[in-house]
This record gives sequence, structure tokens and C-alpha cells, in this order.
Amino acid sequence: MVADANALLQLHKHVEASGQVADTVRIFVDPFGSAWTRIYLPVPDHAVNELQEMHGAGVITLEIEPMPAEDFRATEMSWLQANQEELRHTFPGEWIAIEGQNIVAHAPELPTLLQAATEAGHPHPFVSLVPAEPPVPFFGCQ
Amino acid sequence: MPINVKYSAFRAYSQPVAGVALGPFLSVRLRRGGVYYDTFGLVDSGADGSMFHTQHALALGLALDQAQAQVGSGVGGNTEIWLHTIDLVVAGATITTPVAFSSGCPPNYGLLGRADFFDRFRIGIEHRDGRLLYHRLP
Repeated sequence: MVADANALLQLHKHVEASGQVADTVRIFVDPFGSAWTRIYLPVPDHAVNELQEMHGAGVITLEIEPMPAEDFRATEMSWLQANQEELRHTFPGEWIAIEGQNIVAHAPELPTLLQAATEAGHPHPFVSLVPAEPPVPFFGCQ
Repeated sequence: MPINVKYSAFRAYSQPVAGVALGPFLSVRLRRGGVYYDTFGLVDSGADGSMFHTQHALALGLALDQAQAQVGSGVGGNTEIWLHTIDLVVAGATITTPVAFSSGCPPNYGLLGRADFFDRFRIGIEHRDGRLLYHRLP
């Protein structure tokens, strides 16, 4: 998420310089003055059901908000980018399924991967192929 | 005369795999019925429509019947494609559209093209600053 936070800062410098109306930027500060941005972790369906039941029973107040579109899967994309070298050594030529910052399944074919991810309790993961060899530059589909 | 263009969100350039250049990638959900999952999509103004590797067709339970294959063209020449209508969920928009599946498409990411993705978004690319700006159209 550091890369995203830096990009956010760059954009707002640009917006400020151009005189356009700025968007809201939210950061979180701990009691010692350090600033943080947040990452998203998946919540399994059964946990959502449990939370809704607790809400219904008055044990907790559950607030449900739409995720900002620009944050969708930002955690997985950033994590993949930060861990590419290690992935290439560990899973060369394999498809990987990711939830949050965790690999939940890997397989040589995508259909098999989805089956394995489902069996691991993650039927709708973020997927990517780890190349066996360094990819060549892309100039359009062949 | 200055032209003011409104964008509502941006995404810093990212890189789906080592060795691929940083570029304007978004996360995209591929959905067919109850089967759905997410992957990288490259915002590609040069693509007529969106395209994904044939592995995705198989994962979504779609047939790659040789009799249904069509010919698509790319920089490297012609290639076989299969068109199937699925949902693309990207940046808050659900786009139900025919998508091309081809073994000539990079397996690491799909292409988000003009007929569907660009029809629903205003797109800006600030390459020097490494960011994609976008705005969902009504």
C-alpha cells in the first residue's frame, strides 16, 4: 500500500497545482504521530452471517459500507507487485489464487486452481499466472 | 481554449508480473452465473474489445468449440478467438458484453478494450507520472 499512498500524494500535488477541486484523502494517525493507510482483508460469508446475527441480537452494531471502487483488490495487486521475485522462484509457471496478502491455492491450470481455491474456502479469489520465464514486452495480442 | 476534464478516481501504474512494464492495470472481475473471480486487466485503447486468455474461458465453464472459432487480428497477425458473453465488473461498473478469448492473449492479464470498457469510462493516462485516471460514465 505504500506505493498507492505515494501515488495519492503525487496526484494531490498535481491537483493543487492545477487549481482543480481536490478529492478527500483519508489517513489514520496513531497516538505516537505515525500515519497509516488501510488495507482490506476478505471476510468469509460465514463470518458475515455471524456478524449479522450478532447485530440482530443487539450484541454489536454492524455498519456495512460500499467499498470505494478504486480500492477494489488494491491489496492483492500491491502485494503481487511487491513479491514477484519470490513468487517466480516458488511457483514458476503456476496459477496462484490470492486473498488479501495470502496465497490460498496454486495449480498448473486455471480451472484446477479455482477448484482448489474453492476447496480451501475461497471460491472467488484474485488470480494471476506466475511466468516460468521472464515475459517478453507486450506490443499487442498475436 | 482550456478544456476541463473530470476524473473521479485514479490508480497508480502497477505490474502484474516481473518483467512486464508498469502500466495502467485495473482489477477486473470475470463473472458467469455463480462463477466469478478477479484478475488484472490492462486498459488498452488499441483493443477493439476486451480479451482474455483461453484459460479464463475454461475456468468459467465456456466451450472452445473449434466450429465456433473466429479470426481476430493483433500486432503479430491473425489468431483464433472465441466470443462469449460474460459480465466484467470493473471499477464499480458491471458490463455484460461479448468478450474474446484467445491463446494469443497474455495469460497474466486481460485487455480492457473500447467496445465495452471504454464505452463506460472516461479514461486518462498520465504516463510520465505513472497513473491512470478514470471516471465512470452514466
